[in-house]
Amino acid sequence: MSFLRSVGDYFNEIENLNYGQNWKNGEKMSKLLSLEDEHSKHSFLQVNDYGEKNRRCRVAEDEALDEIVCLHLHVLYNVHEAKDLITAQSTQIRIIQVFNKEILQKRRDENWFLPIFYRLCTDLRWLSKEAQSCASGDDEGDSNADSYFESAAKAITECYRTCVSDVHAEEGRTKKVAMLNMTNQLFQIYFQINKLNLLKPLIRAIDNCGPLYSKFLMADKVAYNYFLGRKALFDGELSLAEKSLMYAFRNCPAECMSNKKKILIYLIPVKMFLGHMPTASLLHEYRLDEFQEVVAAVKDGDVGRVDAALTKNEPFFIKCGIFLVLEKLRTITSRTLFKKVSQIIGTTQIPLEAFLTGLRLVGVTDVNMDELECIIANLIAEKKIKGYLAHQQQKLVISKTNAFPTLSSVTSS
Amino acid sequence: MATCESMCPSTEVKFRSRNGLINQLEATASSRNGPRYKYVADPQKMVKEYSRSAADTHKYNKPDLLRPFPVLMRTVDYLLELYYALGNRRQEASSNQFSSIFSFVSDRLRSVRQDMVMQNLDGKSTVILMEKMLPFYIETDGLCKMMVVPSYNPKLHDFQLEECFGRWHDEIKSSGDITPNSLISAAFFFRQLHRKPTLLHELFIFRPKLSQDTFNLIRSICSSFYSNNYYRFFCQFKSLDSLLRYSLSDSVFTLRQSAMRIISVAFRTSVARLPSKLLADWLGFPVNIDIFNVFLHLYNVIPDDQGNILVSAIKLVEIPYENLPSRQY
Repeated sequence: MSFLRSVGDYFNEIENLNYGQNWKNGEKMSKLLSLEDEHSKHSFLQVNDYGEKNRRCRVAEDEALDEIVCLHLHVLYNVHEAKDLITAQSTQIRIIQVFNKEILQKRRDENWFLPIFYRLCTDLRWLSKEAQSCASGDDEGDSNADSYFESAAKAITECYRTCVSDVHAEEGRTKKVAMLNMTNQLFQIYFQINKLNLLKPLIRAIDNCGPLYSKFLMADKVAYNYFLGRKALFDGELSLAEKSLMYAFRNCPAECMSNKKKILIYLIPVKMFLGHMPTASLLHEYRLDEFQEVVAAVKDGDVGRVDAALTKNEPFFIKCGIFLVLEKLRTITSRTLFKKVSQIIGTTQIPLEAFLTGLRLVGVTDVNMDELECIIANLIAEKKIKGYLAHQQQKLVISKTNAFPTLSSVTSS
Repeated sequence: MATCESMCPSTEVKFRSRNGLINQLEATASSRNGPRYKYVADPQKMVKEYSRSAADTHKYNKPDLLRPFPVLMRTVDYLLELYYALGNRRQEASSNQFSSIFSFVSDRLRSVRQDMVMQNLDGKSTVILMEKMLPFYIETDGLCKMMVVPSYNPKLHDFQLEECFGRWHDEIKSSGDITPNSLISAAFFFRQLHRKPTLLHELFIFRPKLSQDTFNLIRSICSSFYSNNYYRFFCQFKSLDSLLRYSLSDSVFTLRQSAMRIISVAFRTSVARLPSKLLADWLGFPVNIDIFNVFLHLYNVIPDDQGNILVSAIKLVEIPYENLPSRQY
């Protein structure tokens, strides 16, 4: 927006776009109300209080848009001039509230303005994060820093309700198409404040939205499946996690390397749990070499090496939020080791002592016979080993056929 | 500004005396054995009771009705003294005396928190008060889930425990210079163990506030629980501080059920038997095998003359949450 030379230019531009009310203009206008756009850097747009309407430029007769634009200038002032991100966040919430009350609720059979709304929500999330950082760094700050995200979630949820109840609009003009984008916004907020349980009704609503799903933007569908997959991984629902993350990965454009990498960070552990190990070249291509050693150790059944590899790359895995998920790889690594020991022994009745020796060889020294029985019992109960434990004989009796079935065939949920 | 210098504001003492609302624990020695309406208030023992304030907050938010931090500290100390004087509380838990003290202390601590909130007490003072009262709530939570305590209301107690932990956690999280008590920190995570799949992630976020030993302990217990490693979990459980064992009451209940399912599948043949003493040890039951036998009854299993149980006889059933025998240790 380098052509903007004054506030008047800015208002004129918005006014012009507001005349032709269509989705494309909505997208263009969303940039003019964004905190990321070039216009936000112009000091003449960073206005504390824009003053009385009759003494200044205004946006045609559109009172609601006029108020939103003025509040946006106030946000720009607080972000760039006053450096008061807490006020900026509360002003952005006010914008969302006005948008909900004056536009989403009052304008029937219209949805061209949704791109503006999406942008406002994205900026609100960013401001909430910044406000939280300010509050956390301030000794006398808010006692509950999450409250910024919570207030943002509340404002977005109110808009969500408005959009979901827009059932009478013509197809193509319904505000219900905003459901998925808003669900994604809330997903991101709830991930931040660790309140994933609040997402259940939103996920159910998407599951039951029927033909509307095909009307959602592909970008929103990719994002939704990415978040859904992440949540499923934390909940231990591997099938759903695989399905969602695979969808996200396949439909994410090839040129969006960093997004594809983000998806892979969660997809790789899911695939590993299902017994599919990523190739070294794939890991290298997406600059995920931190996984290389872990993958090699899991393949080898080397529990000690898995621990060492996790410890070595702990900061990276924690930052990605998957360290604890990867810890669970110890179980399938033990299984690989037990499989190897069984192959060496070559009978269906394997002394538990042999497994214990195997564990010692890979550096695991803190497991005794009782705990070994417990570990194997878990693998049998999860159907990852077909057989039973003969406690009195201190043996594992395995099935003559397919005693170690493929992991993908036994991971049901 | 809070100005009330006694544990109970004088107006409340008068009001409750007039209306026969004195608790037995607040009555003079000479009157406490008579009927309730004849109790005479002992000013040294009177403690401000909890009252719902939402409808008329300003009525209660007066300086002379609010106790300042030192008085709140004194009040909490007094209340906890009453409770800790009970001696062997695990044995006493089913007694009427335990029930009435538990109910009294629980209510009066709630009123301490109410005063705390109304005068907007600072973070450090809040943490001090919470860390003082949390052990009472954690211990009674565990005890009341193991014994029948008439005055125990699971929902109310859970709400209060959650409230205390919530206030404590909010202050710790937002402050850079408060070092949390390690036992309370561990209990905070243990309490949520069975309900939050993302708990370990939170533990890593909380890590800078914890000593390495506390972090390792919490992480190890969590890992054992999430991987259903009942053997390792209960080995560690046995050597934990009693407060932490109480905080794991729900996890003990959950993990024992999972363990019975795993054992019944993994050791099952038509003739396979396991020594019940060994099983009791794996599942963290006390040496007294009678307690374990009551637990086994839930699964329709009776040990034979040699003290072995037939694995194939284990009948997997859903144990109700409020079941007492499956929480014993």
